[in-house]
Amino acid sequence: MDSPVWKILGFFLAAVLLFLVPVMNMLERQESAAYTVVLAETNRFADSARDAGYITPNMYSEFVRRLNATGCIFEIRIEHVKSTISPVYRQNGSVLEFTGEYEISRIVQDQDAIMSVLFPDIPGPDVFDRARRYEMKAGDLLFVEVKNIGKTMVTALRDMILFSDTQYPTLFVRVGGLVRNEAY
Amino acid sequence: MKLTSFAILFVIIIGPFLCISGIQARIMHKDQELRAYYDQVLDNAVQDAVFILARHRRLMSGDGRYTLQNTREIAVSHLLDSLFFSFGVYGDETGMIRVKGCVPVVIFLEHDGYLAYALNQYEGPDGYTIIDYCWYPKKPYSGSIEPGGYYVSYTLDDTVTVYDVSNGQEAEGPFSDFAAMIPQFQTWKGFETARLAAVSQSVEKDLASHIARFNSFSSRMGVTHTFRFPRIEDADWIRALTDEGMLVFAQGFPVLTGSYYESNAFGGARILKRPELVGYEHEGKLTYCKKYCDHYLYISGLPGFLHESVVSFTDARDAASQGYYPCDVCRP
Repeated sequence: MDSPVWKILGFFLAAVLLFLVPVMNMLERQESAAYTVVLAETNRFADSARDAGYITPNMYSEFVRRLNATGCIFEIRIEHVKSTISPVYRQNGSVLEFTGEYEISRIVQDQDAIMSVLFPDIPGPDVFDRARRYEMKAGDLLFVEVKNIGKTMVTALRDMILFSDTQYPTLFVRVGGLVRNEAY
Repeated sequence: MKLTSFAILFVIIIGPFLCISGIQARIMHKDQELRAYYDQVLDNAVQDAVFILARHRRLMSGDGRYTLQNTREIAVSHLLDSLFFSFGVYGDETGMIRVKGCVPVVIFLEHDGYLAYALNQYEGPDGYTIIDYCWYPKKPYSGSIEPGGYYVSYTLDDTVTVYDVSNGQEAEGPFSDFAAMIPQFQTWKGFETARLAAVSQSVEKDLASHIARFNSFSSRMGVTHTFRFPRIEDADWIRALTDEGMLVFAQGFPVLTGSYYESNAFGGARILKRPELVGYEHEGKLTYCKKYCDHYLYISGLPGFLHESVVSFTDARDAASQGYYPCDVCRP
């Protein structure tokens, strides 16, 4: 039992038990706390935007500030889906005939379109101005997607131990739905 | 052997077990998160769809541009679009079919019957067989009353249509009109029980056939498991029967472990606004209560009850604003 193999094994296990296990455990708790925060905050932001029918720069900044408090770096994607109902015409020779039907088309306004209204490039009106409010129509759809970029601490540590390379985000939340009001 | 060697041996033996159970616990945890997420997505989509349904119903009563079928179609397209966007597959045909494949049937519960929106197979204009979702005709909530040989069509309120099999006559009216013919209809509780049984049985029978049909198509939509007949609790049915709404089934969203995901979501559209409360004056006190409150039914049978004082209200705010107090028995 005094052979060097046992000693090496003993040191190795001691290193794992004294250092890796507690750190892993702590970081895992931290990540699950971060997930809870992200889920709650994203829901809160999406719900308030859906109930109000608009997004203000202050709402967005507050949302980002609360997400940053978790200590991770996030990518936020807001998708506003504009619904328009338009009539369907069919071309018959050179004339257009109304078919009596309609179709709902959905156009996705991406992050850039929303951000350019909330935070315009040219310094313009202040944050309380209505021109910097992104307004939506009741009946549109709004989705907010948050995922972490890079690796969280626990993923980095796990990858190091297991010699793997995690590419997918470990914190991912996507919420949203119908815009119910036009409170502007 | 020294104590440290024992400790090392102990760690070597117990380590893998702890590691495996840790991984299992994490999978379970993530699985629960995923299921909760699906529930949320589905509930959200259904609520949004009935919101749209109710809004278009109100528009419908204002002008003639919308028909009943239009409003249903708009509601279903909203339901599906909302699901597609929630899963981020809008515009991606394969993904959309995969999501649609998890929603075998949508049921619209309306005042005098229900409709299903489910898969069917039919021959297209070019002679090809098309498998797509389509609308099934409206069916009544019906049930037969055995001893008398009556066939009853129920609605979401007290009105029933009774068909007498022996002489082929049909009559319509509130259930209390038929109390003499059908013993169950003598009390409101008896009527409610019969109605609940008839509605849930007729819808469930229909659902079972839709799901059986769905199973024969589903493998072509990327769904690899057999749908089970969904279980709907009685409490859900009671909730569903208070108003028009939508009943949506979802099964087979991918999960990490355990049994298949299955869920049903009901959204009440709050379209029917029928007077549900009554107000009366008794012993100098103005009181409002539910229409079938036990206390009200009891005192309205007493000799001194002022029948001419009975009025009906649509909601509690309406009643209280006219000076009526809530009943202590039924707590309206």
